[in-house]
Amino acid sequence: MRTPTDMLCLRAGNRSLLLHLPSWRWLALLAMALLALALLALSVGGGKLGFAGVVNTLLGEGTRLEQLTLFKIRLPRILGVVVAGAAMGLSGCLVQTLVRNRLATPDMVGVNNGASFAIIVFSLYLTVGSWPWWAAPIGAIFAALVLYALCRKPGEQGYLFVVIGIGLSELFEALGQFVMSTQALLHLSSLYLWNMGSFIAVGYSTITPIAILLLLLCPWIVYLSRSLAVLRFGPEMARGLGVNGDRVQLGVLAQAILVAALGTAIGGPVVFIAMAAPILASWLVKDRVVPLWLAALSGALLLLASDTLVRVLASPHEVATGIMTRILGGLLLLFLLVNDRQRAD
Amino acid sequence: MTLTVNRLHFAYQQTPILRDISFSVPRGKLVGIVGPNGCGKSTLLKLLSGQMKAQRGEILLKGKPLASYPMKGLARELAYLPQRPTLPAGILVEQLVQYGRHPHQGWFNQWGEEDARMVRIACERMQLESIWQQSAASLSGGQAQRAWLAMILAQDSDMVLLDEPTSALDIGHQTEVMEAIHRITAEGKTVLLVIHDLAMAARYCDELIAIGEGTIAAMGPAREVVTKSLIDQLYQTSVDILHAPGDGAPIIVPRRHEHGRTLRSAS
Repeated sequence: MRTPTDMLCLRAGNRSLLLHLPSWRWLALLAMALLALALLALSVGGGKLGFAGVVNTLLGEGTRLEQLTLFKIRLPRILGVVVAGAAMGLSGCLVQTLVRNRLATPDMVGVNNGASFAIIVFSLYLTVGSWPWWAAPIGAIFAALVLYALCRKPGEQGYLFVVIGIGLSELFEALGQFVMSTQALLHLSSLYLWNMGSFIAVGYSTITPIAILLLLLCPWIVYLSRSLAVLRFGPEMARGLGVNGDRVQLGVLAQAILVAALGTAIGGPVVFIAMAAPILASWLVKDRVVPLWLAALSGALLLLASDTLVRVLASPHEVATGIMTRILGGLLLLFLLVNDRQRAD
Repeated sequence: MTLTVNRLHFAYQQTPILRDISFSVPRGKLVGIVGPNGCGKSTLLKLLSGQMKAQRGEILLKGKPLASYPMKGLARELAYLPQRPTLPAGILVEQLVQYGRHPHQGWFNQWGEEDARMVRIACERMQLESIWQQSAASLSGGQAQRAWLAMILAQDSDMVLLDEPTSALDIGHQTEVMEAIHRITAEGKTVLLVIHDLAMAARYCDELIAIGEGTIAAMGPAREVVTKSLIDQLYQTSVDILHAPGDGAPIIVPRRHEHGRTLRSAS
């Protein structure tokens, strides 16, 4: 029996599972790269804790101060960046695949800004003390409902979906800034930094519940991914192949909104990771499959690289990570738009 | 009868599109649906494939109402190729054909003997060996249509619905695709296709259903349906019908409108 090209067929009795080998190879490679980059990122920054010191401290031989620097300051930041980057890459890949448009990502169409708007409102007016990360899904769902009301068929009207979404995104961003401007600047500096995309104040109390929720969403995402792959043929063909396009579309959108919102809740609305990561991932697998998990790893890698770069370049000052992704992402966006136009000519 | 349609009515926002459509399709036949633009033939195909629901009337597939089939179960009995399916960027011809097996697979049943066998047969019948590892987006119009047909063939359904598979193709590619469709019926499958080109329809189809203004204008063996009076009435024009020197299949030649005087009748 011939197995499909590039696939490994795992078999047990009459059960079978196909694994796309190039994807798994890249997953392993990117995971190792992420680990290496994380070690590097742990070794840079103030506090005189270099690579050797980090390794010693990880092995349990550091001083109290070294342990404090590593486990209370650097590690939570890096974990936060990795989780947020993975969530953004994954959510971007889900929406790009569904809408069949590379510009259609949650951060472009206002979902992330809806999430951060909700967090700003809750943290300024409705909660005392603790970080209201849980408000993010509320804002994201609200933004998505507005978008859905204005554009009923995202799978068939990709361009309209993106354009309406960009308008919505601007609106929520401005609303967030308006709400912040009603408060004295004194109370705002950390929130303001967060709203530009910053991981400086991230703590385990935020990362842990978000990571757990994301892991709980994974089985559902895996389950729908086969139908999502078929939906790429368009709703009619998908139905002809036995896939209920409407239901899959609704499910995948819900997944993307929740994942994007949870990613935003950690370090704010960091833009362009959701667009760049899936493009990188698709390029690695030559567009042969829908690279959901590769996009997640690419997102983590890209965001960690941006964050580390910003820490090194701006030291000893603190610059928002979102500014770096905006610079890198802006270049990517220009490249894509110019490239698309040249291909169209 | 593989497919039976009884008194089907369909309206879109109060505007009737199809009225009182009844016909049946015998097993193993190639049946063409013809008619002018906007007569409702693509709508009919969408109703038959379960993409839309009719307001009145019934569709029976192998004696059971279409609506009683679960979606995946229906996909194992009936394959549908829309007019312009979207081609995901980057996928290979091989992958495209393998997606035809989707209704037979599940999460823990992703590849079996039957999948491999049907995909191999589809590849051979549609003569895709030489382009098997090419990107599907790089194919010519005729090759691409053969690849889509192979996907439909891999789906292994008894009934196949095709929406204008030859439109936008030049005559060489049209012939290539019609020959391929003919090979599908030779497998024992029942094929119902919407087709614009009457000469192609008359040459390849066993039976024709002509639709005008939402009702069946004529139905029967292809060469009997293609008559001057029917074509004149259906397309509101005036034609001559010649016969091909080779096989006597009808060739429709529209007359030129003389001196700007329109030959369309006022009624």
